Amino acid sequence: MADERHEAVGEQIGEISERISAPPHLRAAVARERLQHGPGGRRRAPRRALLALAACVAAGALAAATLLGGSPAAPTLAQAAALALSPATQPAPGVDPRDGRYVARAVGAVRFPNYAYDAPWRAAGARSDTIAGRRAATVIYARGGERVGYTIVDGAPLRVPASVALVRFGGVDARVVRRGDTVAVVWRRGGHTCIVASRTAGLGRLLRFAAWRA
Amino acid sequence: MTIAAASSARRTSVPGVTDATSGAGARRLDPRGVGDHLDRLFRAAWALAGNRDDAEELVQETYARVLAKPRWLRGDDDLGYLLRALRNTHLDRVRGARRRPAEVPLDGQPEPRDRVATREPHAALEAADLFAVIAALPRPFREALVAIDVAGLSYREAARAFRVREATITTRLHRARARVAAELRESAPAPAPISGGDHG
Repeated sequence: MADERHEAVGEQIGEISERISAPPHLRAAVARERLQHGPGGRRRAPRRALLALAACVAAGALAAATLLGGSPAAPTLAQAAALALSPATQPAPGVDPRDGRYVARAVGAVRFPNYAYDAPWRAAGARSDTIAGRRAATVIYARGGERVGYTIVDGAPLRVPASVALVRFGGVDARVVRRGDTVAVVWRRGGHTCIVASRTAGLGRLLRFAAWRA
Repeated sequence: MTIAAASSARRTSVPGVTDATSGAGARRLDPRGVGDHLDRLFRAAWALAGNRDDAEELVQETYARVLAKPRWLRGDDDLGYLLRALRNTHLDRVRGARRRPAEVPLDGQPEPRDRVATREPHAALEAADLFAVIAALPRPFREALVAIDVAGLSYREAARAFRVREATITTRLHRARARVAAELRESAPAPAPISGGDHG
């Protein structure tokens, strides 16, 4: 390709690219993240960073242990996460006819989102379970081969070890636990415990699910 | 605590991106300024990932990682640093996806087409086609073209960002542009949006 055409192709690519801007919700998410790290943000010394890293590793180990085990007397995060990762046993709920931002399924006053309202994730199935005497409702969302299970456990919030890392994202205080390729995000809404878990979606996706219209 | 700080140590680091943590001349990456590059990073992410939805996640994760701790840089090339972080985060995600077992969709419904919601739908569609072609390029070509034509780095900045010689970047960019032009010339109805070699 001649040099002039070479440059012309580059200019055209640049022109097309420049017409694209980051969407407002991404801009807002980055702004929120940035605010937490402004001039007054923490400046950790290397030693403190090492301690923080050690704490993070310990928290991860504890979180993994929590996901693996737990007290049989009360619902545990392990049980809730297992439900979120389980296959659907019921058809997907339809869109709430009164409000298209939600699907027609709820636990108490806590409704399940209709992510398809503004994202390519659709409700693909559901299930209803009882764990330690508590009702737990799950909606499974899918995008192609990816899937995320969203479980709401009725009743008082489940106990989450304080050592599990706390994340503040999009106005939601959430806990993040990992085990291998499985990621789960846990938070409280309307006095209930909500958990989204996936083996295929990343942490960013799960946090966005948790913070959706928070 | 931030998103990245909440995840594992691997997640909080930006693999392959070295900070100038010691020595004279280092300055801290100003978190207030990183948002200025959001549009460019989003375009670059789209061209690297090939679709808009993954691009949003990629940008978000990149910012979370970069902002998780103070970053010390030499020089004033914030965009180059962020682009390298974006590239490395993308590679991490690709490697992670390869390790995960493939899952069968819950039902037979086709995957919904990614939404394209911008103020200029026509431009977005055009960009979506272009970025899909760029995303399919071999990695070295793709990265050179994304850095220079999509993100707007100079040849020198791109070479520094990816730690290669300027001559290497130039060669890769030339080949990348030729491939993109050829691909779009084949796939687009005449006149092609980008044509190379016909008039040169």
